[in-house]
This record gives sequence, structure tokens and C-alpha cells, in this order.
Amino acid sequence: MALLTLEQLSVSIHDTPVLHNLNIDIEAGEVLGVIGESGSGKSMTALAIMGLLPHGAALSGQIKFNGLILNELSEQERAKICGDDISMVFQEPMTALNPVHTIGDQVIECIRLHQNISGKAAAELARETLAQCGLPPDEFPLSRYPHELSGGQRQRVVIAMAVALKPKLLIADEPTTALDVTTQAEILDLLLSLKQTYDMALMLISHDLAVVANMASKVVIMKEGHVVEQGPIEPLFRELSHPYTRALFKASDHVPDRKNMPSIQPSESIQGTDTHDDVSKDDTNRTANTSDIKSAGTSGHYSPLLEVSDLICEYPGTRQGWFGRSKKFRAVNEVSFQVHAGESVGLVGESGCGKSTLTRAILGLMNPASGQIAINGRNITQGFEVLRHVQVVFQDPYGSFNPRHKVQRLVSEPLHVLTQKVSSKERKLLVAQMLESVGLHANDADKYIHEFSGGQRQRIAIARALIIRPKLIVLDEAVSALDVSIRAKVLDLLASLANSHGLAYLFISHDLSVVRNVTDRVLVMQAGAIVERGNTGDVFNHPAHEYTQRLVASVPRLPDYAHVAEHPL
Amino acid sequence: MLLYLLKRLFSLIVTLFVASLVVFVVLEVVPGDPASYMLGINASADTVAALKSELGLDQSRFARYIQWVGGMFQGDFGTSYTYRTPVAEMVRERLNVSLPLTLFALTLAIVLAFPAGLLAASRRGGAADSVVMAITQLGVAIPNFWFAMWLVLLFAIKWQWFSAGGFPGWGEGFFVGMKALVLPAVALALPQASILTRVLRSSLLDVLNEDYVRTARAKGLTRRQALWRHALRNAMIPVLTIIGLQFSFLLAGAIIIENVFFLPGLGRLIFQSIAQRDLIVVESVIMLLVFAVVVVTFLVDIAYAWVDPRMRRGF
Repeated sequence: MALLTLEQLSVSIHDTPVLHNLNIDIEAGEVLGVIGESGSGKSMTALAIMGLLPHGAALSGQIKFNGLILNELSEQERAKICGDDISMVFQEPMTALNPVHTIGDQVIECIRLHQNISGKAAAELARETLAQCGLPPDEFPLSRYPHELSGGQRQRVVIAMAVALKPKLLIADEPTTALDVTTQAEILDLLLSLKQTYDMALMLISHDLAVVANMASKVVIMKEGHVVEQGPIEPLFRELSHPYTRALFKASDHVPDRKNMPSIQPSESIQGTDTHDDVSKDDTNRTANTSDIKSAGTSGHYSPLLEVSDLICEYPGTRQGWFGRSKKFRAVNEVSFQVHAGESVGLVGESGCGKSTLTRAILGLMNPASGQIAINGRNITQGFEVLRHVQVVFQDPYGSFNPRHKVQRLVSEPLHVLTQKVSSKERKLLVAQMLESVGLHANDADKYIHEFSGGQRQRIAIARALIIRPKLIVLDEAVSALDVSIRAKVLDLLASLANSHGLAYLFISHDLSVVRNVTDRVLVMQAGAIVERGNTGDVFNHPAHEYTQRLVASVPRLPDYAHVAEHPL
Repeated sequence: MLLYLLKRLFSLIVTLFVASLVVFVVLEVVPGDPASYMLGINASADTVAALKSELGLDQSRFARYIQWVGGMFQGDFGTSYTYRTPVAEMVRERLNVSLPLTLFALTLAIVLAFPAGLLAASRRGGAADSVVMAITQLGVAIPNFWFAMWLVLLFAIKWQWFSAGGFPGWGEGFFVGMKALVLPAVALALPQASILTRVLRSSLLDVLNEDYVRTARAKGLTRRQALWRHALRNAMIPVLTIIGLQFSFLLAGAIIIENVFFLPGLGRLIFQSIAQRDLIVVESVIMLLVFAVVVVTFLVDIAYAWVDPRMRRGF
């Protein structure tokens, strides 16, 4: 008999069905992968098993575990099983721990809830479990608070809480999605080794096909609350007989069609590619031209679109969270690079490497300690007209818009940085054009941002960035939060916009496989410095620096039997 | 933690200094000369000048500021222009009523608000929640003098359990004094308890949506246990802020209730002093209130650090 059986499990929330007649088995000691995009119901399945469904949820069918029907137990009876026989690890380690209790208290609480042992014995067990999860007691005593740990370390604490009582089933819901590739590899190794040590079953929920392919022996593929297909992983991934599974594979390694290869030419040349010809657009171009002429007049020779030279950015020592109080923390250390017109440059590195600080400096959001940032040969400290050639798209499609403004206002906001006024009629026209150029409708301008999906929001963010005709768009993890199929479409959009508008991209991401598919050159950043640079293909195929090698090696790969795309990483 | 405390303490001292300057300057600007006010409109210029020099009003502003601040450090708040008694004495008398009343009302508010807020949050959307929300809505909306008059009508006049007003002093014994403060404290506590309940409820509901509460439930805590062990402490920050503000407000803001119950409290003292241009009393009482607010804020800051370890770092 299976350890856990879901039988005809259906869930609806406020009468909206979210899960439809699921039938899933997990045997003792096996790893089951659950794959699906957002809204597929994979997390809801996990919450249903744990009895943590949100308010207003109604469940039918059965959840059988070890001979018990979980969904017929009382809250108390269920609480006895949760954390003891079944436990769970969540996606977001930064918020999964209670900030006001020490990590020791939180692990000990879990142990003493289920076992009648002394505080001392529980503390000993907590220390052992934390050590086993890679947090040795001399470095990470029980008295540490969560805010003193990094994301990966916090995830280890969450895992320690989950495995302290040697559960029979561990549910891990996107346990590594919020982590860097190298940390992801470590956490996945840890989960596998714990699974072997304790002989527990693991239900691994992920959107990442490669992660699941490397860990699981069986897989369930979900879409919109239905199980699309399930079975042993190898035949399923080898044959890819189901069209949805096949589509997922294609989208996950999507290579957008990029026509213009890196062309190192003066930026003026791209003005001619502009095909739009209404009045306001011409005005916009006129300012662009005058500033270009100015810059050409002052420098007298060709200058790259973006030139960063010997840039140093520091945070004051008193700022909390950096090493020590007194000395300054150098987040960006003597970084120099160039981006040419029409080029797509990748910037990769782990969290804390200085990517975000560098982005902030380029956008003029913080003052560098020393060094220069020039756009078209003009230093960005010379004011807003310089900065208007650069726009940004951020990671979070949900948090980067003011929810109380309509799309019209959100998209037209950057027009403020133009020197001349744009009339409200022109503004309307421009917004409509921009929305259409990113594949939305002109009348979407009258909607509010909550009416759009994550992928559509990211399109709106791109429209907002495009409206003042920048030459460079900084994409700060712009597709990281999107599902693979939506990500593929947004990448296609970016590629076609680059072709039609002659845009350059600075593509900042921790996702190496995407960077590989969409950039010409790549910069690898570690501890504030660029440790390797070169053509994307060369760097990824023959990484020279030890850090790049480690990064590339940590990227989860699909097994050889499971490839559909022509450009495997 | 030590750095945090030192920083808080430093800002406390700076605030007090700035406040003393502002109070002094503002009252210098206020029209009305206390000396002529005290002597009436028929007084001769000589008499006014003599009184001015007696009161020290003829000295330079700087000298008077130094005198005033220096005096306060030694517990000397000067002499009331109208009553010719030491201000310190007057204030102490009033504080004997106002401080116990404030503490009484605030304790009552907290004792009422915590169970109500916890109950409402744990039964979100249920009957208990609706009842609590309805009552607190009323509690915020009802003017407290009107509520106070009803209290007098019922408990003092109809059932005669309490006296309708006045304060016998602490000389008669602790309980006699406290008994006189029961009705005013209830009247003051009702709106404060309602506000506190609502703040606690919404803060708890926010925290209950946090990931770590879900983690706690996944560990095997019941909804109730998770509420008590993980949500309550995290929900305390806004509640502590409100409690701090309420303390300051009640100390001097009880003037209407003091009037309804004929209590010799601080609120009435300020009101009378302003009406009589007794600026030295106004200055002193305002400084005392500023001091109370700043100290309470300091205590609230310490409470933050106690509740949330992230606050302990000195930023």
C-alpha cells in the first residue's frame, strides 16, 4: 500500500474549483516530482495534504496516509501528524522563520510538540539536526536569530525543523526557487542525502524540469488543477508524448529569434530604423538627436552607449547587515565595462555579489564612491536628459506598480523626464502605441494593474520603459518570476523590440540558462568585481575562472534522454 | 543592544532640549502681559513695572530661559503668577489625580482590548468577530462625555454605587481614592480600549498571513497555538505604539472627563492657566507633558527591542 494516496481529491476556494479529481500515490522512500506552472494547483495540493488550505476552501475526496484518512481528522489529531510524520519545506526561506524567536527555539518547539522529552534533550537533538543540515553548532549556535542568517542558511533551518523527527514524508514546495544556483545545488544535495539517511519519501514541487529530472523517480505534471500525466520519470521525459509536457520542455529552453547580432556602431545609426511617424514621436526623436549631436560635439569621437569605468560603490559601515560596523562595505569594486548600441549583455552572479548595487548606480539611484558612468559619452551626473536613455524593468511584476493608478498613468510616467511637455492627447496616443507594441490592446490603458496577469504586467513594465525611446533597457531579473511559457513569450517580445527599435539590453539574472540564450556577451560578477567576461557561448562552454566554473556546474541540467531543444546548456 | 539604548537616550535628551526652546519661544510670542493681567486694567505703569521685576519678567529672554531650565533641574518650576504658590506644588497635586487616573484607564483599556482583539482575530469573520467589531465601532464613535454622563446617571444617581464626582484625596485611603476614579477611568477607557482592540485585531490578522505562521502550523501547531506562540508577539509592535500614544493623551487630554467629574486634574490646570495668562504654569506643565511623552516613547522603544530582536541592532 502506498504511503500517501490522494483519491479523487478536489478543492475549491469560495466555490472556484482549483483542484479537480486528483489521484496521486507516493510510496515510502520514493521521490515524487510535481511539475506545473503557477496556477496549476501544485502548491494547493501540498497545502491540502498538510491541512493548511486557506479560508473558504472546500475539499472533497480522500487523503489517505498510513491507513488514516487525513481530511476526516480533527484539527488536533491532524496537528499531531504534521511536523512529525509529514513535514513541509516552503519556497521563501526569508520569511518562513519567525523573526522574534531564535532558530534553536523554533527547532526545539517542533521537537517538543511531538515528543515528550526534556528541554535539554530536545536542544541536543536540535543541535544534531542543524549540524546534519549543514549548520554546525560552533558557527550557528541555537541562540542565533533568523535575520542573522542568509537565505540558504535559513532554508537549512527550515529543513532541520522538518526532518528533526524523521518524518515518513517530506513535502518540499519550490525549496530552492528563491536561492542562487550554487546554494540550490547544495540544498538539493542535502535533501537527497537526508532522504537516504531517514528513508523518507519526498514530494518535490517545482517548476524547474531539470531539478525534478535529477531528483525524482516518478513525476506528476499538473495544469490548471488537473493532472496532465504522471508516471516513472524516464519514459515520460524520453518520449514527451503529451503535448503539454512537450510544450513545457520547449519553453524552458526557449531561444528567442534575435536577428541583429552585436554591431559596434555609433548610436546615431539606429535613428533611421524608427518606423513610427506621428507628431509626438518626432518630437521625442528631436530631443534625442540634439543631445546626440551635443555629445558628438563635445567628445568628438565615437563613445559606447554605456561606459562604466573603475566604478566603486560603497555602503557606510553603520548601515546594518554588512560586515562590521566601522569599515565601509565595498559592494562594487573597480568595475569597468561597456555596452554598445543594439547589444545584449548579460550580468550574472549570486545574490550579494553587487549586481543590484551596480544596477542602482547605472540608473542614477545611488552615488558611486568613485569612477565614472557615462551614457553616449556623457557622465550621468550631468542630469536627467542623460539618464533618459536608460530605462529599467524590475523583477517583481506585482510590486513594481502603484495599484491605485491606471495603466495610462503608469506607462506615461517616464515622460516627465523629457525636457519638453507632452500634451495629454499625445500622451494617450503614445501609451496606446506602446501597449500595442508589447502585444496588449490600446484600451488596456484604462484598466488597473490588478486586472493583469504576471506576464501581462511585465509587458506593461516593458511598455513603460519603452515610452521615452531609451537606447538601453536594464532588465533586472525581469523574467525570473515568470512561468516558463510566459517567460518564453516575453523573451521573444524583447528580442523583436531589440530588432525593431535597436535597443541594447543589460540583462541581469541569476538564471544562467536564460542569460545564455538571450545575450551576446556576458559579465560574471563575484564579491563586487567582474571575474570573467567574454562572448556568452565561450564563457559558458569554456569557463576560465574557478567561480564561473562553479556557477556553470551548479546549473541543473536535464538528463541526456530528455532533450527537445537544439541549444542545450 | 547597548548602542541602541544609547542612541534612544541621546534622541530623548535632544528632544527635551528642542521642546524646551519651542515652548519658551512660543509663550514669549503669545500676546498678553501677565503682570498687567494680574493687576487689572487700572494699574499704574509703576506698579506693573514693579511686579514685572518681582516676577523676573524684566530680565533678558536668554537669562529667563536659563533660569527656567536651571530651576527645573532642581525641581523648582517657579511661582505661579496668579496664585503666588510654587508651580511644582500645584503640579504635584494635580498629578496625584491625573497619573493614577491615566494608569487606571490605560490598564482597563489593555485588559479589555487583549482578550477582545485575540478573540476577534482568531474567529475572523465569525459571530464573535462581528460582535467585537460592532462594539468597538460604537466605542470609538460615542463621545466620551456623553458616555460619562450616562455612567453618572446610572451608577451614581440611580444605583448610588459611586459618587457623581469630586475627589476626596488619597488621605482617606487607597481604595476610597480609587473608587472615586472608577467612573472617570471607565469613561476614558472605552474609546481607548476600542481603538486598541481594532489595532490588535488587524495587526494579528496581518501577522497570521505571514509565511512563518504557516510554517508553525506545518510544524504541528493548532491554529490557536500558532496564534499565541507565533503571531501575538509579532503583532505587538503597532499595539505598543498605540499604548504609548494613549498614555500621553490620557495624561493631559482628560480635561472633558475631569470637568464632568469635577476632578482636579492636569487638564483643568492647563486650561485655567492659559485663561489667566499664568504662563509660568503653562510652560511647566507643557514641559512636564513633553517629558512624559518622551520618556514613554523611550520605554516603548525598549519594549520594541524586547519584542523584536531585529530592533536591537543600533540603527
